[in-house]
Amino acid sequence: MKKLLIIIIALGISYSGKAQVDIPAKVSKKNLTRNLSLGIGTRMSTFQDLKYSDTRYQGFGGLLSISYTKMTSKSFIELAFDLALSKEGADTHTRGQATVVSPIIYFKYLKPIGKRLKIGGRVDALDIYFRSTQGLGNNGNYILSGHNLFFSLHHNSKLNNNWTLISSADIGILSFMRESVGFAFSAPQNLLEDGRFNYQDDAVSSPFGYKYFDLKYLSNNLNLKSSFMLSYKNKLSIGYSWSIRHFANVRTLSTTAGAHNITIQYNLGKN
Amino acid sequence: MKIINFIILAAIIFLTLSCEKIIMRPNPETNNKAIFEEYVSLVREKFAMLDYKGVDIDQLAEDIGQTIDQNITEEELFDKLSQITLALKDAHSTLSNGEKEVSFNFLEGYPPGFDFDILADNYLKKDINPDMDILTNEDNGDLLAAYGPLVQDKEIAYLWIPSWDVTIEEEQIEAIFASFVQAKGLIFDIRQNTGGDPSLATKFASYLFGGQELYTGFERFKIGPGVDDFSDSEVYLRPANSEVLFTKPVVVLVDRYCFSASTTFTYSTNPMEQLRFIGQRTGGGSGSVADGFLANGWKWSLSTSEFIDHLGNHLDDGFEPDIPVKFDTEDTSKDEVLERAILELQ
Repeated sequence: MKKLLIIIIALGISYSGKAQVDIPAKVSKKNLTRNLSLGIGTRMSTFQDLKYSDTRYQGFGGLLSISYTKMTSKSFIELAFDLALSKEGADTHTRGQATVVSPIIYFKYLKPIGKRLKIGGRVDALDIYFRSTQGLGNNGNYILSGHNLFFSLHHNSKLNNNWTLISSADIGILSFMRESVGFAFSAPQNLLEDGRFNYQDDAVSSPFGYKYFDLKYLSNNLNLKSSFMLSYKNKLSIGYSWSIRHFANVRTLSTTAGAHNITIQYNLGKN
Repeated sequence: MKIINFIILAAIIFLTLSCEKIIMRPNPETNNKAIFEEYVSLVREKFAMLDYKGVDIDQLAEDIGQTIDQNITEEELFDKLSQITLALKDAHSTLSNGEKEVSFNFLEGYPPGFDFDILADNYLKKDINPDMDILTNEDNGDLLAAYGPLVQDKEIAYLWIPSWDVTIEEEQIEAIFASFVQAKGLIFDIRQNTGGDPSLATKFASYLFGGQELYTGFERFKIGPGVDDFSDSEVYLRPANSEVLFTKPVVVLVDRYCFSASTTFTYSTNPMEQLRFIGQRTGGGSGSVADGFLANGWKWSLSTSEFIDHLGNHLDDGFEPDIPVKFDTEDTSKDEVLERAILELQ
């Protein structure tokens, strides 16, 4: 796996690693810090939907991120928007290239536990994974939409006076989500199983048709994000991050989407 | 605390060094046998009408599978897979290798039930009928609809929708039906309409009745790989939320080309008491369609549902109109099907 990381970095592939700006060791409440950060990066994304094929898709792309953080000695708050885009091809053939667009808006709240560790939660107010596959008709568009709740961990390691390593993990514990494609048709599986398909129901095709959303838990929806960010003087950060979604709406026929990102982030605020 | 920090850091490193490929299934093989077996599995698991179409997929797979080895060419393999596609007797089910596409020909054996020149020359052209409106796509000029009173009887309105594979805005539909308010009857022509967007077909159907929801039948979806993994969606049609619903007598003109979303239109309107079908047996294609790629890149599509109407009729092979009418291509002075519809409404 380390080799893979090296290859990814060497190829200049990036992934949306979100730089968590280091909280200064001693910041009083009065001395709170607000930062606005901009990030760009590259990514390698993968996808497999066993409902339709065992063939894996993978490809490269880029990402943009903008985040606002507010830090005190007692809390860390982040509001961020990530937009990732990639082009994927099938591993076993050359037809049906897919375009993947994935915007996420999230809010994170952490509390310090000791000097280096912070824990808290993250809420994805919007999480869309849209892929469009060339050459297909009804199954040409695949949309995973929803809202997620994560348990979040951040760990700071001060490497020297200038450099800090920030490691983080977000572990999905609850998702309210909808997969637009079922076992055999481009409609949510629960809708088809419940016998509620109707062309006059706009919620059938809308990614925000909440009546066909499902609650999923850690046990049936693996939703993980982790990252390492190297921050220089709390101004410039470079990092690697990884994310994965893995769930099944039809027995063992799972859908898996993963991404490896490398990101450079610039903090517009004063230190 | 240092130990906790170490554990947490180690856990994050472990997470990051994991990879989604560990839990993904390996890529499939692409040799002849594997491609054949992949296609057979797709048909067995997703095609919703094996029973209705009388297809013994296991026997087919055994018979054809015996003739497949690693030495046959790609073209030979494609031909063998095509035998399965054609055996499904379903025009929604197709197989394409990028150069050619095979699917069941549902038109074979049926004479023409429509002639555009005859329709245009005798009913639509401005010099014949100045009141006929033509709605076109502003971008490409494609005909979306022809509608207006008939010159043969100005109290009868006519509407031709040649395709559902278009976008007709809500306001345009309102304008069409608003123009029919004075008419005593409507001829709704869907001949040559091989389908497109079923939602659009349903929207037009919802303008043809008022009052209570209408039970139109049920769609039987394949929801899993097992032979009995089906679920029925009962469909109730709601009238459009409009002031210009047309609830007077309607005649729908059909021919063999009426397929797919046109079948959605026919099963949606069939339960309406003031409505009759005139023309030729329709083409069917009642199911919803899924598509994808085999591991070697060949594209497949399959019907993954079928529709059974409010009377329990399977519609995938089409249905006979209330009044069958033969179309005469030799007589260019009139459209027999349309003329019969005018008689019905007078």
